[in-house]
This record gives sequence, structure tokens and C-alpha cells, in this order.
Amino acid sequence: MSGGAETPGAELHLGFWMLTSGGHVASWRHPATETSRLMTIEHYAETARLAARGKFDMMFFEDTLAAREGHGGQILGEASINSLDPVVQIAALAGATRDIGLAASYSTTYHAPRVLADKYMTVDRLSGGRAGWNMVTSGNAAGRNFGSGAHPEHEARYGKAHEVVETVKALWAEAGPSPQGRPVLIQAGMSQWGLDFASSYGEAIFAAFRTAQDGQAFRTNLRSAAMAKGRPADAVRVLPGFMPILGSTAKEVAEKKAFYRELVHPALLRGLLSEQFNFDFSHVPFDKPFPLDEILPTLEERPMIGGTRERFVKDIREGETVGAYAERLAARITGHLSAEGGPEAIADFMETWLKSGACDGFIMQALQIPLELDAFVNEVVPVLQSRGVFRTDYRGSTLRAHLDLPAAA
Amino acid sequence: MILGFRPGPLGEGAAAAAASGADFVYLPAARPDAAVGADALSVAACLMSLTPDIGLAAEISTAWQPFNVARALASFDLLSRGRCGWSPRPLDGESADAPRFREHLEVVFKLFDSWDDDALVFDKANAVFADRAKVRRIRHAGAYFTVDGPLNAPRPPQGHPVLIQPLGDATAATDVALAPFGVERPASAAGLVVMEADGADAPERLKAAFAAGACDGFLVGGEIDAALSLLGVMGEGRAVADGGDFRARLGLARPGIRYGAAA
Repeated sequence: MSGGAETPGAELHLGFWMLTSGGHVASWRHPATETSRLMTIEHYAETARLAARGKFDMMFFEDTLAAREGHGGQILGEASINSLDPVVQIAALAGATRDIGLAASYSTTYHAPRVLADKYMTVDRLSGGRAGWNMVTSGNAAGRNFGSGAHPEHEARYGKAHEVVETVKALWAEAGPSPQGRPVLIQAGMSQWGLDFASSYGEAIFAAFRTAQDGQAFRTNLRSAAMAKGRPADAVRVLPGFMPILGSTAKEVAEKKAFYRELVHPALLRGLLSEQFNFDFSHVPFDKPFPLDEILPTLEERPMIGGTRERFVKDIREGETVGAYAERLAARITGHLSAEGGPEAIADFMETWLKSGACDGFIMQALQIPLELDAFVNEVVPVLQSRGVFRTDYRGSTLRAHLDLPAAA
Repeated sequence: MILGFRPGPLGEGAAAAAASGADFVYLPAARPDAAVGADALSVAACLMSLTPDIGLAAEISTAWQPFNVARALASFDLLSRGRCGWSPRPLDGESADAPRFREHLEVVFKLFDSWDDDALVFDKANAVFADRAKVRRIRHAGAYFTVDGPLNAPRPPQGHPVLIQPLGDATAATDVALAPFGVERPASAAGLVVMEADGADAPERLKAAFAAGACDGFLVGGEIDAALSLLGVMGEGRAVADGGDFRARLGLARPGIRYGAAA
């Protein structure tokens, strides 16, 4: 039975957001990270099997279409590379895993509808109905690798996205059903355009919320909008980004945070600053006020790290020194929701969000892979299961079944 | 003797072919008028988890942008530790010496070469994941493609994934030329010549052609059980190179950086 717009879900849905060595920016420097394996299928397959042991709905791979850069077009050599082709990754994982859903982002701007329809339907068939497509329009950095260098403006990109998704759905309909009907459609984005697109097509929505109230408002709006378009409210799952910081005592949590802070090497920190502000920080003294006047002329949007010019400027506090800002940046564990404490505390947070109708689950990151995913699977998942808010085993074999979505329309 | 196998559209028969000694599988791209849902590259990628060691080659339409092609192939080669092969397919009605097709290939190779082999450093102590001095923009601005680069994936472990092309389209860069059975081997062929065979063919005929130096091996297609059975007969008593990547298995040298000076 489909609930109303405000009805909370009964059970959590969990996606695992696969970022090479972990969700923390310096996780590649963690002593437990085996860097030589980071680009091999074994690393991804082992992680997927670990997430499947924890009964996650899906593994998710994001996509970027340009190398990550610091200032002046230099590549950001201090950060790990999270940009192998995500569809090649899920196709390879289709043969290496069972049960768990496999989702990947691909651009509606830089792939033709026929390519998108073919690739996701192929992975869906190879995996027995476990494929998901996160439909993205791509950031502006991609433009320089695809033609004239001029990335289409928002309006044009979004107009095209509607057209592309309609065409892909029509091609899938022609192809005949996969084991789950057709791949699950996923979308990330919180803009008004995003809401319209999500309520039309989205079946899982990756979101970013600051508070549970934001989540409730967004989820209620989205479900109402979907219903207004003739879809059941439960045809769309809202999954905010989430990073748990597990520690059995306050002291342990503090130590873990301090440890990750220390992983952010000064060279990496300067690299992150130069990426964010497109400015060379290598000779900027840290005890001087932030040189905003010098930075503004060359400041750029950096969609790859979720930033607009406005957000970057607003982020700097009045009179703040470079060092003070850098320290805040280095101590930032995640830009997404986070909860800290023991398994019970993490489970409390997740359950509260579910039961208050602020979300249907989470798209979860782990500070380091596999350590923190392993700890979550071993310690938090059993608590969620014993409280009856998370499955103890898969009830179906497709991603659509895991997400408890209605049959594909 | 090199032995290849053409699996079914979703990889049917590939694991059995690997078990009976095939060196590689080859998946042709679906034609534009074919049914949706059999993407050759995705099927080949799936096979990296379902088969041990053998080379995995897919035909790829060059309607796909060169940046996408280069990144998918580099990713495939990295994930599989060097098992990737590919065949670029011209657009319908386009020949392999059409300027657009040539430029597409050039951009793909420039992107493979936008990272030096030793650009990945993994130096945890000094926080150097990649040495930025060993990564270059390609700044390609041609008649058909404008691609700035660099690729956002490191250089493939094989340098360049194995390049397979029809004999008639082969150039100096071609690693494996595919020829119909019985075609005379041109003296100019730089790479290996592999002849297309069908499961229904008589093994004696193929063995005789190989012994006469007409080719370096066969790509066996047709009905799957017949093809597997022919593979088994052809592979009997054959020494197979163990370990190593697809290039090593074919006895091909690893290409160095060809476009390093482009930046």
C-alpha cells in the first residue's frame, strides 16, 4: 500500500557510496589503505561483497568527466583519483557479486540516449536486474573534453536531460523487460528543476540535508509532486548523504576525528585550498587574513566538489586568517550528514530520521574502505536489524525489489 | 597459434572457451538497428570477473566521444590488470581512412599517453598520490574534436589496450589484424594476423593454413557449441603463455609514450 505524502517509511534503504579508498579526502593516506589495489576489480568486488553482507540495497559509483584540478589547471596530485568509468565498474561487478544493486552515474549531456539505453540495459541483464542509473547533467569542467569547451548552460542542459531520459525510457520499452522491468532511475539534486525532474522520473533521490526538518519538507514536497503526476508516493525514495563516525566512547570518537584531521597533510590542505579557490596557496602565509581581493578575479565554480563561487566566498568568516580557514577545512570530515558514537547512537540517528519522515534511508560513505564499512556492517547493521528497521536478508533479487519500488512504469 | 572466441551477445560460452584454452574473446558492437541491451564493452567488462586471465576485446563505435572511449578502456585495463583489447568501429558509411575516424583514434591515443607510466606515486608520507609533472593536457584542437585533457584515469597497464582492426583497415598501430579465412597475408602487415573461422570448419584446413604461415591464429565464431568444440581441437597440445597481460599473451611489445611532447 502506498502511503500519503507525509507517511514515514517502515524500513531503511541503504546505498553505499563507493569512493576509491573511502569518503574522507585523505583516506588514501590511511595506513590500512593498500594503494596498489585501488584501481583493481578485486578491491571493488571485495567492498561490494562486504556491503552485500550488510544487506545494503546498492553500491553507487559517481562520475566525473575531467581530472580534478588545483589552481591554474594543474591536476590535484595530492588527492586520490575517483574517476574510473563507473559503468565499466558496475558491469565488471555484475559478474563478481550477487544480490546487491549496482548503480552508476552517467551524463545526459555527454552520452547519446542509445548509448545510455544500451549500457544500463546490458548491465541490468548481466546482473539479473540490479542496475541503477544516476542521471547527471555534468559539471562545467567536462566541457573542455567534449568539443568546443563551452559547457551548455543550466537551462539547455536540463531541457536536454528531460529529452534524453524520455528517449532512453522509450528504447528500454522497445527492448522488452529486464528481470526488474528496467534499470532504476536515480537522481541527485535539490534545485527546483531537480524537484520537477525527480518527481517525474526519479525512483531514488540522493539528497543533502542540514536538518531533519529540511528532510521532512523535501520528502513531503517530492512525494506530493510525484502523486500530482499520477505516481504512488512510495515510487520515490529519498536518501541523503551520510557519514557515520563510529567510536564506543566520546574519547574514541575524538581520537578518530583527530586521526583523520592529521591525515590531511599540509601539502594536501594547500591543494584542496587551491582547488576550491583556483588560486596558488603555496606561498600564502597562513597567519594573514584570507586574500579575498586577490582571489575573486579568478574564482570559478567547482561542481566536482559541490561548490559555487558564492558558497566558497560565504564559507570564509569575517576577518578569518588563511590558517584558521584551512584548519576548519582540514577538520571537516564530510559535507554530508554525520552521526557519531557507538552502534546504538548511530542507529538512533538513522532510525529517528526514518521515523520522522525525513528520509527513506541513506547513501552512506565510509571514512576508509574497508575498515569503516566493515565496522558498520558488523556493529551497526545488527542493531538496526534487531530494532526491525532494516532487513535481515534480501527478500528479492533485484534493485527494484530491495528499494521496495512499484513495478516500472 | 593464437586462438580467439566470439561469445554470444551476453558473453555466452566465454567461460567455457577460457577453460578450453582460448587466448581471448572478441565481442562485436551491436549494429545501430540491433535490439537495445547488448553493449559489447559492458559484456566484456563483466567477463573480467567470470573468466581468468584471457584477453577481453570489444568493438566500440566511434560515435562515442573519444574522451569516453579512452576513459572506459583505461578503466577496463586498470581494473582487469591489462586484459583489455578493442576495435574502433567507423560510423556507418565511413571508411577507416576517413579524417574523422583517424582523428578520433589519434585523440584516444593522446589521452592514453597524457599520463606517464610512473605518474602514480602513492607517496603517503609526502601526500603525493600522482606526480602532476607527469600528467599533461593534450590540447587537441582538430577539425572534428576539441579535447583538452588530461584523461582522468592513469595510463593503461598495457600502455595501450590491444588494438584489433580488420586487415583492410590496419595501420602501423594495429596489434591484431582480423582477416577472412583464405585471404593472402600482405607482406606489409605489421602486427599479428588472425583469421576468422567458424565452428563448422575442418580443423585440418585451419592447421594447414597456420602451418603455411598464412596467419598467426584464428578467431572462432558461429554456433557456440560447435565453436567451443573446434577451439578444443585446435588448442590440443598447444603451449599457452601463462601469466602476464593480454599483450604478453600475444607476444606483443608494450608501447611507450607516443604523444608525450604534445603538451
